[in-house]
Amino acid sequence: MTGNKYIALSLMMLLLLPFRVVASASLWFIFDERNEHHRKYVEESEALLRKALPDLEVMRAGIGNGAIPSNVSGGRTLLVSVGLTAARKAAEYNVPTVNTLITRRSFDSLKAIYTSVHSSIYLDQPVNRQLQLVKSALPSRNKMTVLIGRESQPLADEITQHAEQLGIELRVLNVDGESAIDELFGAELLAEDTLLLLPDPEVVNRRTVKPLVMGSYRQGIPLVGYSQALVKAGALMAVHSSLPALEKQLLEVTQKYFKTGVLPDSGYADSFAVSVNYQLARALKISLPSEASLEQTLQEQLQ
Amino acid sequence: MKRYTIRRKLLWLTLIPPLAMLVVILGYFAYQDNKLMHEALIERGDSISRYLASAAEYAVITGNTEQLQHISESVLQGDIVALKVYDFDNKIIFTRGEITLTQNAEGKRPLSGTCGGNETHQLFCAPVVLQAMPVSDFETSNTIDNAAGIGRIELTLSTHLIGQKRVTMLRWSLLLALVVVAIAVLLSRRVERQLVEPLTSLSHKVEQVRHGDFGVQVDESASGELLDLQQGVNVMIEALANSRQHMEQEIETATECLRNTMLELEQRNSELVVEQQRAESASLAKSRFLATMSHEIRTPLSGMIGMLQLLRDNSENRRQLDCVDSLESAAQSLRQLIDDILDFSRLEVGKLAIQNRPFVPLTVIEEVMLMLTPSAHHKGLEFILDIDDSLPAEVVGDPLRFRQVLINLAANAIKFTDEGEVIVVVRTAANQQPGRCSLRFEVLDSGIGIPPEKQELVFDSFTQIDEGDARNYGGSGLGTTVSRELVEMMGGVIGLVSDAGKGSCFWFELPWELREEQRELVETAVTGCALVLENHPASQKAIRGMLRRFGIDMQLVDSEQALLQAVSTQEYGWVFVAGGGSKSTPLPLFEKLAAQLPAGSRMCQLGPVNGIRAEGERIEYLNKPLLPASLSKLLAQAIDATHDNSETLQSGRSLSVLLAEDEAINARVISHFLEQGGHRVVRVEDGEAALAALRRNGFDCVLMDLRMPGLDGLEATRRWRAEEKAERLPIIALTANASEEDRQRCADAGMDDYLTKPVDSQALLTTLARYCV
Repeated sequence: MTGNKYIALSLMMLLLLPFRVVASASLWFIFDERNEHHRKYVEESEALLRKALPDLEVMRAGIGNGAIPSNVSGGRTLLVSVGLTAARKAAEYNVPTVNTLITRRSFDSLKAIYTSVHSSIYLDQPVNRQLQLVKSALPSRNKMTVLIGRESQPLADEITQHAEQLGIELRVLNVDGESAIDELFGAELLAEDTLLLLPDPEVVNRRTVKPLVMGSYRQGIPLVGYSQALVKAGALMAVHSSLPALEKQLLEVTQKYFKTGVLPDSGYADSFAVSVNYQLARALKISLPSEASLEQTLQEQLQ
Repeated sequence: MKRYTIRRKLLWLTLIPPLAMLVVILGYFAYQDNKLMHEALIERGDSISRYLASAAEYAVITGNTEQLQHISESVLQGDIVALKVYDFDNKIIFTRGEITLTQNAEGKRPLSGTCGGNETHQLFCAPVVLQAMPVSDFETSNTIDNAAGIGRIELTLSTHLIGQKRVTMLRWSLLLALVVVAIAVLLSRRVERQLVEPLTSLSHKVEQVRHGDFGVQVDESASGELLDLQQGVNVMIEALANSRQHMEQEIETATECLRNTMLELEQRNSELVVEQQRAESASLAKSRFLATMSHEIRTPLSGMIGMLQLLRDNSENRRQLDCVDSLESAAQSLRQLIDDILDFSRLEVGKLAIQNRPFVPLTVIEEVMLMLTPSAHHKGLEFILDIDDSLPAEVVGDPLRFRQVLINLAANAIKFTDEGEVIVVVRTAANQQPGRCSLRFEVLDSGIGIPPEKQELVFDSFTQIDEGDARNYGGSGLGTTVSRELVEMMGGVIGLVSDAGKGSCFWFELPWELREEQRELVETAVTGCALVLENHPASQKAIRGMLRRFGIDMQLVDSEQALLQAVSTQEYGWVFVAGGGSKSTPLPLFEKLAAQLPAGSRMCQLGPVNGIRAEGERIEYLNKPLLPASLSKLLAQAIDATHDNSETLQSGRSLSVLLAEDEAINARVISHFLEQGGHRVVRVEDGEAALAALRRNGFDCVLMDLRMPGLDGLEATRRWRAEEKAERLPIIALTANASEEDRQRCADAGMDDYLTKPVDSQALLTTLARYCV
């Protein structure tokens, strides 16, 4: 064996060493297979991960089927829960976990119960983005009413603070039960420029959304929501998380974890999307820029 | 349909199919249209109610009746007549148009669709639901709650429009039907002009032809097949006319031939009538000739036979006796031949009638046996009568013809048997009918027998089995032929079983009507046991049967030693010894028996008529065969102990007999027979003398000749019967005529019986015994 051959062999072993370390890492998705949104999110994230981290062993486990080995341990393993139910399931393992497709409020409630939960990518958007959207899209409307239920009560101060910063005259209206929604428009309590909805099941749900939409429409009040579904239901516009943004956020968290061995803090997705109901806007005689333009404007203002 | 005209049939066939199809099609479309209209109403009501429910969602939530009013105004028009809106608590929050309909029961009421109604209105229900809408981007479809009901609406639709549409449709249907019928009628008329009218014309022409008018012609104006038909009918009419003309000619010719034939037949018929009259005259002449010849031949013949018997009885010279026997035998044969020829001729002309009157068959059988016994015994034959117990006492039939057949067969058997036995067996035939008795008579002999190939010829006329037989045994061969004819006339059958050299069995069966009142056949019955010495097996059997008829048991021995041995060990009331002949006597045996038998016991010799009798105390004599009548008399005499050996065997006592007979020879012969029988005879020569004698003296019996000068026997009998006051006097006719007419005339005149001349002594005495015992 010559000296050149020893050098070549040594270089090859050096090149292979980090691959062997990465190859031993694994990632488990825990999700509800029946939920088509969650299943789509897992499939697209898995593809993204395999493409970016080809040596990462990506596996799936449905909730309740026990597909995750019981002796799975930390170190080179990462759990990714999808949705609130999967987050509760993942909390049973003492393994680093990233909770996805879960609202901040839900994550906070889980964090108080389980100590094994390490990090989360929030599904919802921060209230300042919603306020900023209104400010950007409807700069002439400075009066706003926000409906607060028991679950969204902790956000009342935060949103009030952000509204003051943006120069918005905010009225916080506490809603106690669904019947209060019916009475809301019947009594014509709303006489504001804009109505802001926060993700609170007590205030906004399948049954209350229609009266909210119809009532606000009849009174000519634009409704600003927090999801694309609300825009489809009759809200004028909303800033919300998109699947590609959430998947990109998960890739970044994963790469960081396997690189440093430490999970980043919980937070909102860096990217977001804006949806506008232009039909409704025309009915309300409101002129709005394009969604892309609003996204661009919002990104710039938030930075 | 068969009686309808073509025109009517065509009309029906044209109208019925389209009408039927129209009715079916219209019915089908009416049903479908009605169904579709109803379904459309239901669908429309359902969709409108669901639309209203959806539109009223916000108004129901907010209780905005103004909005509901606005919605109803846009909907309530046409057949939509009422609307009701209920809230979540089922309280009416809005109503317009008041129609009260019967709703389905609560449990059967659907949430949506039809929920009630009547004949004029239909009620539709639809729930007002709060439409659930997703609020989050990542909610799943299965987590979406079902729409929650917040109220309901009731929409009432009138069905009046459907009814109007239905009426309109029916009107159009009827109009269409009328149009179709009109078209069908027009078509029918057109077809009728083209088809029916030519056919009707043809029919009329054919009808004219049928009535004989062959001069008609069918107008050949049609086209196609009808033209062919018209042309064909014209050809047919022409052919029929030709055929008729030809047939008339043939009929004329045939009639002429028939007329000639009829004339010939009439001539033939006349000739035949003449021939028939001639034949009848000839037949009558033949019958008269036969009757005359019968009388004329029988009269001298009976005299000859009688005189021969007298000559034999009075002659002691053996050579003379042989000559007399030969002459008597020849005379008897001649008489039998004449009788057979006479019967045969009567049978041929159909003048021999069968009688039906009550008679005792046993009596006839016994008479025949008595009559033939001498001839059998003279030939040294055993002559045996074997009678079944089932023989009826009295039947209805022809005793004379039965007797003639039995005599013929038995006499034949005796004639053709040189040694051995002749047995007459009387049995009940196998096939019996209710109320009737069919008896089978068998005559068995041990004679020469008949070969099988010649047995069929036995019953043919004038047939002797062997030409040598005629020479050896004599006879015309008519006896069996006459017997067959007589048996068949009496409804019976006759036949024979024979084996050449071993004997024959001639048999016949006669069906007789049973008399309702059957008298007791056996009048004298005793009990006890008889000892019988008899070597002949068939005779043993016959004697045993005969004694059993009288209640006597029989012990049989076959030798004298056995007989003496038996009487030494047991007492017997009667000892019968069969034995003795013309040259020997069992007297020594009877003497030994008399020494051993107790005083009350009696002995009887059973011997032939020409046998030597064993004379002695307690010794009786009976001729073989043992007959019921003779045995009965013997037993009765023994019981009464009044037996007189001097009395005659047949009658039992001496009778005073009046003999009316003009023929001196016959009168002499008959008188001799009677005197030999121990009877007294007074002879007269005509009827007047007979009546005078009867008025003067008492007689036991009268023998009356039919043909006498002056007053004949028939008239004399009628007069005597007319003036007879005391007990009826037996009058027996003497005649050479054995015809049925003569017998009937005798019976009508009041005679009791008749004897055919030449009179046989045995028959004479037997007949006397029958009427004068």
